[in-house]
Amino acid sequence: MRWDSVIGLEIHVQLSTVTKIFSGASTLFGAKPNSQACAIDLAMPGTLPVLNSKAVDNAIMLGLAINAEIPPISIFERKNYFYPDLPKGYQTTQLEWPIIGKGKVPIFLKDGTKKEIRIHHAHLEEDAGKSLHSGSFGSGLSGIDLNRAGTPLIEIVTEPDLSSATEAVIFAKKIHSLVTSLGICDGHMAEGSLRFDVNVSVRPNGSTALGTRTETKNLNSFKFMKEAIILEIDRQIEILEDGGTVIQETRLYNGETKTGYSMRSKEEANDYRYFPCPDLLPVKITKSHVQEIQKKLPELPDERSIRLVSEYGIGAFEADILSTSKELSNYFEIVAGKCKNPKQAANWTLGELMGRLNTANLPIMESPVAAEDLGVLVERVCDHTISGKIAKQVFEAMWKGEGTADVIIRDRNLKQLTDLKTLNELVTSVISDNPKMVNDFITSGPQHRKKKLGGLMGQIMRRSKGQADPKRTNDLLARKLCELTNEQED
Amino acid sequence: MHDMSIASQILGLKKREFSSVELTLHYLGRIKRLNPIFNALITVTEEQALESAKRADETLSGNIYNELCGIPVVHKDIFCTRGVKTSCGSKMLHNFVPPYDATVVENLSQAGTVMLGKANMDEFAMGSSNETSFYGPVKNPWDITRVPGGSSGGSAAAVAARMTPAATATDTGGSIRQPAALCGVTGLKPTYGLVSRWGMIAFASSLDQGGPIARTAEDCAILLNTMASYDHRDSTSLKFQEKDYRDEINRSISGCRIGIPREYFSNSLSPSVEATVFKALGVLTDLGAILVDVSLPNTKLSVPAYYVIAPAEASANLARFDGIRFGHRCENPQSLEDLYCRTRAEGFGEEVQRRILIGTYCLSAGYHDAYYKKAQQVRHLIKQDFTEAFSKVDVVASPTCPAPAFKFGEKSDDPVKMYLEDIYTIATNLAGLPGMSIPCGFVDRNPIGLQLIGNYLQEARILNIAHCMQKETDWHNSAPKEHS
Amino acid sequence: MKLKKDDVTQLGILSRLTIDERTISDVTSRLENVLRLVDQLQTADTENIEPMAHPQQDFQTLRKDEITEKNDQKAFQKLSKDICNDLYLVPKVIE
Repeated sequence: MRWDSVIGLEIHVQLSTVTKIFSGASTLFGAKPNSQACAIDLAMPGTLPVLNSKAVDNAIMLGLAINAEIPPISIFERKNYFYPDLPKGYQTTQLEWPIIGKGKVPIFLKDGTKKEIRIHHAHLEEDAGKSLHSGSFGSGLSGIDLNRAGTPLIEIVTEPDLSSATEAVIFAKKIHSLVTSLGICDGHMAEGSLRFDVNVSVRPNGSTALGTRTETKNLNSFKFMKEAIILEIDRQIEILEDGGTVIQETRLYNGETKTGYSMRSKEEANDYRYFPCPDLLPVKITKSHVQEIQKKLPELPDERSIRLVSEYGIGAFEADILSTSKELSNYFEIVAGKCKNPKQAANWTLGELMGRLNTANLPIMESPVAAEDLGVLVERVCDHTISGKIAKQVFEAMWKGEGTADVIIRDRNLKQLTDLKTLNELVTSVISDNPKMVNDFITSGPQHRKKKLGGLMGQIMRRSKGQADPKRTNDLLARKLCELTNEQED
Repeated sequence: MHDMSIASQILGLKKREFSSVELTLHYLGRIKRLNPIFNALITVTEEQALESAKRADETLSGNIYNELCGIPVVHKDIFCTRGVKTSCGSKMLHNFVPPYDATVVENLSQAGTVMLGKANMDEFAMGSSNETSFYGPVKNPWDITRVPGGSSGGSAAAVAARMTPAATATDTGGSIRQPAALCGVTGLKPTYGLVSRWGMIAFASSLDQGGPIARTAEDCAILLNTMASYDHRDSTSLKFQEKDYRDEINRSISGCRIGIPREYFSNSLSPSVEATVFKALGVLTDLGAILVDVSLPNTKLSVPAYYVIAPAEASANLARFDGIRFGHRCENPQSLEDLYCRTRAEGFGEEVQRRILIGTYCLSAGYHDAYYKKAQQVRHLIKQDFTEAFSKVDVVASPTCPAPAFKFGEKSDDPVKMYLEDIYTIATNLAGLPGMSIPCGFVDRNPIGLQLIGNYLQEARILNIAHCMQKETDWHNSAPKEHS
Repeated sequence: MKLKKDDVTQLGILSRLTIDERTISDVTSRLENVLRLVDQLQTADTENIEPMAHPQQDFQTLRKDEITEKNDQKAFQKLSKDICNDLYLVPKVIE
C-alpha cells in the first residue's frame, strides 16, 4: 500500500526583547544560572506579572507578515501543570483568545510550485526554565536554571497542510526567515531561539480521513526536524502495515542516536485546567496601532522574492532562497550589480559561496569574500576572462584571503586563452601528438564520439594549464576532428 | 494613649505631647502583655519598631512629613515585609523571609509608620474564624471563648485589644469586614484595584483587596490616603483620581439614599442582629438619610459562585508552593512527585487543601463549564444586581454577618456552615465594590457590625456616612474589658 | 454531587497533594458537602449572560521593554534549602 503523510507544525519563536514577557529581568542568553531570574520569574509569593508591550508589538508584526487576522482583544490564560522548570505551577499562555488569528504562509517547492500553508493561530506565552540532568550535583538529582523562565515566546500553530519532511523544512525555514527579517527573533537555532513540535500522521494514499497523530516535541534544528519526521512516518507506516494501531502520544527525538521515543511521563495527567489569568486583564489592540506597526514593517522575504524575480529575472525558487534573509539578498544584489549577470550572480551566491559558508558554519555577514569581490569574479567569468573552472580556483584563493579576483588572475597568469590563432595552434599540436586518440575518435561510432572528444579536450586543457577558453577550444577541436573524419571517409 | 484614635495621636505627635518612641513603647508593652492571651500577632518586630520610631521622631521634628509619620501599625502576615518573616498563617511559609516589601507596606513605611509586627490570620486567608492558622487561633478580645472572625482576625483583634491603633488587612470574601464586625472595630475593603496587590500573597486574584482596619471611619480614611496608590507593578491596579478621603468625611448625609436589600434580611439573619442593625440605621435616618427598599435577587448564589471562583483561582495561585525555591520542603524526597505531594500535604492545612481540591475539581475537564463558567456568569448577574440597585440609591446597608462571634469549634466540622458566615460580604468581592463594616451595637455583649457598600470608587461616600454615624454614637469607642 | 474515592485520589494527583488513606473518606464527604452548596449554581438562569472573569471591565496596561530588575540571586537563593552551583536541586526529572 502507498501512504500519505500529514504534518502540522507548532513553532516556538523566542522573541528578542530585552526583558521577559512579564518581568523587567534581562533575557540575555548564556548568563550564570539563575542570575536573570527575578522575583516574578521565580514566582515569589505576592509577585505579579506586567505584560511587555514589545512582545505584543512583535506579535502584531508577525501577524501582519503571515497575513493573519489580528483580533481586537486577546486574553492570557493559566495552563496548570507541575514541573520544576515552571515556577508558578502554571504557564501563562493563550488558548481561546490568541493574539493572532487565522493566517497563511506561501512556500515555494523545488519544482517551482507555490503551496499555501494555513496558520491556525499564533499566541504569546512565557518560556519555561531548564532542567539539567547531569552536573556536579550528583546523580539522582536535576538542577534547575530559571534564567529562561519568562522569556517571551510566540507559538505559531499550522493546519496539517504539510505533506513531507522536505515541505516541513521549507516551511520552517520560511518562518525562520520571516521572524529574522522582522527582527523579532535572533534565529539562533543552537540556543533554542526557534523550536519545533511536529504533529505527524499517515493515511492510505488517496484517503481523506486523518490518521492518529503523534507529537514529537522540542526539535531545535531543521536537520533534526527532518530526521524526526521521516523516522516517525516510517514508524507509523510500519505499525499500520503490521496490522497495529498508532497511539496518540507525545514523543521526543534524540538527534545523536537518531531514535524517537515516547514521553510517557507527560501523558498520565494532562488536564491543564485552563482559565483566564486574573492577574492580567484582556489586551486591547486598536486598528490604529496595527496600522502604525504596518507602516514600520521592513521588507518581508516574500516581497523581496517577488522584487528579485521581476528586477533581476532570476527563478522563483532561487529568489525565495535568496530572500530568506536581508543580508543574503543584499549580498546577491551587490554581486548582480557588479557582474551584470543576475543568473550567474544567483548561481555563485547560492552555490559556491553558500556551500563554503555552510561548511564553515559562517553567517553571510562574516563571509571572507566580500560581495563586491565576488561580483568582479563572476564578471570575469561572464566576459570570458577566465573559465568557470578556473573561477572556482580563484574563488578558493579569495576565500583564503589571497587577494581579489583580478590580482589572483593576473599574478597567477590564469587569464583564459581566447585568441583563435593560439588556440588553433594548441588544438593542432594536441591532434598531432595523439594520433591514437584521434584515430579512436574517427573509428568509433557517433554515439561514442562525445566521450572521445572529451579525452582530447582534457589533453588540451592540461597543456594550457586550464586556461584555454573551453567553448572556443571545443568548437575548434570538433571542427578539426570533423574535417579529419571526412577526409578519412573520403 | 491606646484609647486615642489615630487622628488624635497625629495631633498628639504634632503638639509633642508624646513622641513616636513613647507611643511605640506603649503599644509594645501592651503587645507583650496581651498577645499571649489573644495570639493576634505571629511576629513582633520590637527592635525594628523602635528604630523606625526614632527615625519618625527625627522626621517629625522637621516641617514636612506625612500625617501618619510615627503612628504604629500592624501588617497582616499576608503582606510581604522585607527581612521579616511572612508566613501567611501557614506552615508552608514558616521560614519565609521575603527580600522585598509589599506596596502597601512600602507606602506605609515611606509615610513613616512604625511596624509593630505581623498579624495572625487564617492560613492563606482561607477561613472566617482564624481557626485555620498554623500559629493557633486568635481569641476575640470581647470574649476569648469566641472567634475573632477571619481571615484578618489578628488585625481586627489587635486593634480591638488596643495592641495597635491600625492594622492592614485583606478581604477576598469578607476577610476585613467580618472580623472587624466580630471584634467591634471599623474595617474598609476598597474598590478592587484601589490598593495594590503587589507583595500581597495571592488567594484569589480577582477578589483579593487590601484595606485598613482601625477604630474609626476617620482613621480608615487617613490610612486609605496612604494605602491606595496606582502601582505599575500590579496591572490590575486602578488609575484613579487621587483625593483626600478625609475631605468629604463631614459632609451632611441628609437626603442620602440608603438601600436596604431585602434578601439580606432573611431567615438566616438572627433577629437580635436585625434589631441592632435597624436601631443603628435609625441614627442615619435621624441625620436625614432615607432608607430605600432594594432587591439583590441573586444574593443566595453569591456563596456558591464564590466557592467555585475563589478555590479555582487559589488552586493555581498556590501551585508555586512546591518546596523548590522557598518555603517548606519535605525531608528526603524519594522522587519529584514525592517532593511535590509530601511538601504540599505537610505544608498546607486542611482547609487550604480542601479549597485546592475544590478549585482543581471545578476547573477540570468535564466540569469547567458546569462550575467555573457558570459561576462567572452568576458573578455577572450579581454585578448587574448592584448596578440596578445603585441606580436607585447612594449606598447599600446591611448587617456584616448573620450573627455575633461564634464559639471556637462551633463551625469547624462543616465547612459549609463556615462558608455561610460570609453570606453578606461575598457579593461585594464578586462585583469588586467597596464595602466597610462599622460597629453598630452589641448582642449579649458581643459586637455587631453594620455593613455599608458603595458604588465603584465611592469610598469617600461610605466613609462619610460611617463617620457621621460615629460622631453621633459611641459603639466604636467601646473597648473590651482589659485583661491583665 | 456524589464523589468517588478514586475521584478524590485523582484530584490529589492533579493538585500534588498526598491524601492520607485514613482520612480520605472524611475528605470526600466534606468535599461533597461543598459541592452540594456549589451545585445551587445550577438553579440560575444564565442564558445569554457573559461570564465575568474579573471585576474590572478594563484593558491591560503594558510596560516598556526596559530592564527594571537587578540580579538578586543571592537573596533569593537564601530562601531555598537545596542549591548547588547556582542551581535549584530537585529529585531527578524523568522525561
